Amino acid sequence: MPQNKKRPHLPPVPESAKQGRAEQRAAASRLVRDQEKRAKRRSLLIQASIGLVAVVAVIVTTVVVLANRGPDEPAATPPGLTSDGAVRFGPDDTTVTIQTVEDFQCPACQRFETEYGDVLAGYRDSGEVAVEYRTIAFLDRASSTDYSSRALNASMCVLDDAGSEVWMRMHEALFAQQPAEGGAGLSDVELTRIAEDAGAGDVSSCIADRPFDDWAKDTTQAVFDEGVTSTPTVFVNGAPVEPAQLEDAVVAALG
Amino acid sequence: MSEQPSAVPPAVAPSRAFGLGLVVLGAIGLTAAFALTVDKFRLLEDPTFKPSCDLNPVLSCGSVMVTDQASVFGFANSLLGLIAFSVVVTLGVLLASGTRLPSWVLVGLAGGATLGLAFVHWLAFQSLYRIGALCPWCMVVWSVTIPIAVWTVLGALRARSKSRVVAGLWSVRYLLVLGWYLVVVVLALVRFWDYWSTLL
Repeated sequence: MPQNKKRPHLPPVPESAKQGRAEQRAAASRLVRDQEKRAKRRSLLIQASIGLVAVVAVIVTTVVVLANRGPDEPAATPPGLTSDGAVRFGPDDTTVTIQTVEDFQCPACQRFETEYGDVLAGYRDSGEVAVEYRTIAFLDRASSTDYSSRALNASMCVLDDAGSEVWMRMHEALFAQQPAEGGAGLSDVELTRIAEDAGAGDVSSCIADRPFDDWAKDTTQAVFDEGVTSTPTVFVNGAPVEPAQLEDAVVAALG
Repeated sequence: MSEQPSAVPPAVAPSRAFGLGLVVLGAIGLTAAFALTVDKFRLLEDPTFKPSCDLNPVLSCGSVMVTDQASVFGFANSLLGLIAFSVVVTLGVLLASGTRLPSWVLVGLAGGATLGLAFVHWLAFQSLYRIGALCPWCMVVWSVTIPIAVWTVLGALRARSKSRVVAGLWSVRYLLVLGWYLVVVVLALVRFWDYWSTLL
């Protein structure tokens, strides 16, 4: 080994001294190891304490803040709806009231609108038969973007901004341009464009912020609580009728 | 959190304990992926099948497993978990046995774990804000993927560089993961508070 060549003139180190030095080195490295171990243990202990304090502090703060938020503010309700959350067309005291329950994402509702939209429009203008549209949102799972809720909210933004006639045009346009199930639905930008085409003002922020989501949840739940199990559901004076029997039922109700 | 002694000096090879940690985390992830895969098969055989992890409206896997997000690449995500966690366990066993792995293997592991981490966060976002339900097995996968990724990335960096930043991050690796968990927990608390508050 090169060590031998480095110090050629030194007298040979006695074995006992060699041993002593080796022991010293071993003791020194033991000391370093112990120190490292202690430092590591201390660091772990500090980290554990910090971690514990952080977990408790963050969880407690979050829960306290959430719990004290109190009951949610009463959901913003779109203006001009009937007491059961429908948009009503026709005088208050008609002998016949048709009510439809629809979801903007529901393909069967689209077919219903295509087939009976004109019939309903006739009733809306008749003055004798009132038509109430009870729109709900229960098909959020059918799109990756909660399209059902977003479309309902957008329609209520339009109702809020421009009234029921413009809402009616928005309603028709939403069914005419209904996105396929299982996709991303229409974007907020597209919904805003449809709203503006229908005659609403600038509702882009309302469409983006979705202020009527909570109301939509409540009204949807209320509809299901009343026993509606699918859309479209059509009522004539409160009695459910098949769309095909709608006109006969109205005639019968008019007497 | 397990006691995991490790050397702090910079540019060090992963310890056996590090390998053991990977084995444990990987095995947990593997179990979760396996359970999800089996439940997926059962659900396909019988669409009315209720997975055992359907606990309540928020904690439910049945409703999550049928979404498009649960099969992003056209097949059940859990199949990826079966493959990836097996690799983690295998490499963990090698490290735990004292085998010195080439550093490119560690880098590859860290890279794969990072992809997994990104995927898991996308899934967590979808679960919280798009699907609106939390699936217990999926959350097990999230919670092991976070430490696997954080630690393998730091471990790979530590094996290649003497950076003080890396050494510093390594020394607080438990806190890093804990903080990460806390963020997710707080988001889940906030998102589903309406439901949690009914349990109080």
